[in-house]
Amino acid sequence: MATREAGKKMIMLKSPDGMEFEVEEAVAMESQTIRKMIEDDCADTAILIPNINSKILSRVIEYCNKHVPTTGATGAAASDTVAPAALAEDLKIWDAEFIKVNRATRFNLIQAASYLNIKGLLDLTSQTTIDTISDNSLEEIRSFLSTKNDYLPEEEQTIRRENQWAFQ
Amino acid sequence: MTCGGLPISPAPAPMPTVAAPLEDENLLPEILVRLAPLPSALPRASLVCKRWRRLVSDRRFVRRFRAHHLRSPPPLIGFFEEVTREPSPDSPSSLFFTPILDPPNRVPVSRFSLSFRNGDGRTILGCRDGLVLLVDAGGAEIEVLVWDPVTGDQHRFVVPPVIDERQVVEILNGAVLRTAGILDDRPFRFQVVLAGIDRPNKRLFACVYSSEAGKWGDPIWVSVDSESNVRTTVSMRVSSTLVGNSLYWSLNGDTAAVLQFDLGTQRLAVIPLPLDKCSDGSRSFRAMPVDGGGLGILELLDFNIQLWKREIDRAGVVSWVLGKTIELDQLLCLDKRGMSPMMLGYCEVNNVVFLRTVFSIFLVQLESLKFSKLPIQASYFLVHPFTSVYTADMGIGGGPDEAKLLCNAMHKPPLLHSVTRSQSCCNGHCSAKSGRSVGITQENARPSPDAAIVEDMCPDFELLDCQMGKMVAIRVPRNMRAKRELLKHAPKLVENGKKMLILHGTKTSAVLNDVLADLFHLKRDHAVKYTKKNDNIRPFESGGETSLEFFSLKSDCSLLVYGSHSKKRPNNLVLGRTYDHHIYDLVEVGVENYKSIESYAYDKKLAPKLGTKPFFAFIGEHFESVDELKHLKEMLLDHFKGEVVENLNLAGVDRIFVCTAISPTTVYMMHCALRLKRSGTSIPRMELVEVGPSMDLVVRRHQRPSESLQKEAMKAPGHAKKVKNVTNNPVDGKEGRIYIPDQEVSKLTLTSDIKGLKRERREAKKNKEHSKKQKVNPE
Repeated sequence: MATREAGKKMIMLKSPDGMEFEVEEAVAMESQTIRKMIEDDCADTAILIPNINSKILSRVIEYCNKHVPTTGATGAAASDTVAPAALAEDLKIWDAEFIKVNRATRFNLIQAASYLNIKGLLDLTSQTTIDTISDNSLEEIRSFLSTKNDYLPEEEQTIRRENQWAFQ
Repeated sequence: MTCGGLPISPAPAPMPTVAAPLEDENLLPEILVRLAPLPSALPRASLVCKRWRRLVSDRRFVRRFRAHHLRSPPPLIGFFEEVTREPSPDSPSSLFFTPILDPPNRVPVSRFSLSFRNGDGRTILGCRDGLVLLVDAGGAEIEVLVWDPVTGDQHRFVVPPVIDERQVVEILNGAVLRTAGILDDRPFRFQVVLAGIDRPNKRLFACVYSSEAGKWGDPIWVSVDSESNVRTTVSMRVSSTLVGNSLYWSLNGDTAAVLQFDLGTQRLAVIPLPLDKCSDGSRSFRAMPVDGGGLGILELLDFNIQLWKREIDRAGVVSWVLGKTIELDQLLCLDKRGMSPMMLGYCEVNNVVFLRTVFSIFLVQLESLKFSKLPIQASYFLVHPFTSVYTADMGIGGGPDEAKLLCNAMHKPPLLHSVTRSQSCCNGHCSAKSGRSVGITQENARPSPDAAIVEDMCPDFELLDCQMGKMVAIRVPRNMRAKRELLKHAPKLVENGKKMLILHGTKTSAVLNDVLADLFHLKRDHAVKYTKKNDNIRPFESGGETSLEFFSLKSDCSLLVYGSHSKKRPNNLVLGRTYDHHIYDLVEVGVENYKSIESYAYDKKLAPKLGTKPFFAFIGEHFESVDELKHLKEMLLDHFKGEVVENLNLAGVDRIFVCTAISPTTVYMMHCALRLKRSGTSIPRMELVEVGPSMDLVVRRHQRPSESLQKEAMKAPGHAKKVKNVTNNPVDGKEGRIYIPDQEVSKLTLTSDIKGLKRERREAKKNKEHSKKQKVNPE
């Protein structure tokens, strides 16, 4: 269902719960997976994105929308007035706002980013996750993951001994 | 990709649970690879659960982790001292590493310290991209060593004679860098740039070695106009700075300048600096990158650091602008009456400068002006900051014992030599590198990313490989002659003739002495005879073959003859073969009725020539039926057949060994010359003339190889496997044929499972209700 609107090619994305999103081709191209499909001319009909629900998909599209113009043509026009460094700074602040979501949403975003192969989003979401984890102690990480310590005490001791300096 | 839809994701999860990505095998590495590149990151993560440990100790993951973080500025984990030190008079000189991160990221000192067996000191010229460049000017040739401390890989080569004529030119400095884009390749690829001076001709030069080409480029020269620069550049020992695509070294004459080497255009230039004149050359400055990729200068003046920036306007006019001035006495709370700080080093990647005061070393980040303080451990004058992504070596080989071994080794202070483990124990080998240089390239051994340190025990050997506690030593040739000698011993596709090693036991009888002497005489060109008594060789007993195997390795002999005489086994002769310098099989025989070569009188014209191929005649059915004799036959053939040849000149066939089985255990063996007589036809009549020695061999014990060993030893280089159903033709290219059996669609039975149909119906119903509701709502 690729339509032409104001000179821009539109792509229809469909989530498994039936919602449809119409996005510009450039925005959709942020996702390497969709880009490949467009290049292979497989995007004539609406693209069904399995296992990403409409709520997450709308967030993903929001991210792509924000990140496209800075790299695309509008970015060039804007850069005459605003320095690219400032733009990047703006984007960073926006990203920080964007990622202020609950854990479940963030994890869903990681899955979506990985599936749609959007590098920027994957970097952002994974980095945030790892940052929240790395400040915590082992027990906190385990409770965060709701996993149990499956080491025997001796095994844990062996691992600790192996690189003793790293656990000081 | 197929048209019409997205590929089905491997884990379709319509309602993902909360911890889903951290459970997903595909996403977990994606997330964990972003852990902070600190040395303790991965070992700590490995403690979370077994799944995490499995993942983070995977070699592929570690490589990915390094590659991910090497792109962004890697953390500064420590520094190396400028020269190697000898901690005590009789210990080898070692290069010491000093960690600077706080625990738990404080890497043990010994992990990155490197010691050298020969006493020569080495000078370190620089570190970059996790590589260390060392130069050894002590020997006959200047040897360059590039070392990756994390993986332990080393690369050695010598400086070419073009620039290695020390009366004329002098190498002053150098730099190493990883070739861009291939950060974590193994073997690592790098470039080395050496800079030096040609004093009589007043010119400086740079010379580039590239590991991909494996050779040095031509030296690039630039003349220096100022006499003083030539005179005082000796102090040019501070390490290089990489700004943009150029390397910069400080030239410290009475006018300050930097030497620029552009890696892209391969041009060398001297750039004068605006710094104040200073007659004693005690100025301290470095090139540094400034934002926007330009060149800057960092100068330390008493208690101030001044940052200069070069600006080039559109007309090409160069001007220097003084930017920030950092007052160190205020920042670091120093007493201005005391000694002014000294600049020890500068790390351009992290923009950190190392300053030394009387009591401590300060690390100052020039942008944020954050600083940290280290206690002084030794009197440093210059240090080389080392940045790299290092994570502790974990779960090496998986075996707990081995991990313990490596752990222990790592905590042993000096006398350490960095070695690399390899996955396979036989693929380490020596290879020649550029020009005159002979280097051992450890990367040929396909080492694993985890390096370990193992005690260097044997002075002539470089330990390359240890697997499951077994160590394989590889000799490093020091010169061309030694290298040729080693090559002779190396495995070949077509092996050279087997050599025979003749040894004596503790006691040998006169008969046995004669036997061994005669055997040596027969094989003179392919035999080594040891004359000393050996008291620790007991071939059939476990542990008794150790020195035998060592002698075999040392003399490169794979055939063994060992004579001993005892009351129980008089005139005992053990014939043996080795494979890979380990005992392959053994046959023990007693010698009776021995007649030596001297006791035969014959026409000496008939005497067989040295090294001719013998005939063998095995007479008697026992050679077919009795296992011992079958084995003896094999053994005798191998011992006397000589080199394997394709063609034979009949004129050279002049001897025969006649072995007759006179009983199931006894073989009468004699050695005859062939005498060709006229027969009246074109085929001559042959007569045998006994030339000695002759003896009865009574088989005593024998030891066959194990089946697996036999199989391995018999392995010959295979032929290419025949490829079926694929044809190559120049017009159509490669074509393959596949077989598809008849589909028999008519016979297919329909499945009785109609759940799928039910579901479809159910969904249709649902949709119907849904649309109904929507219709109702607007009303």
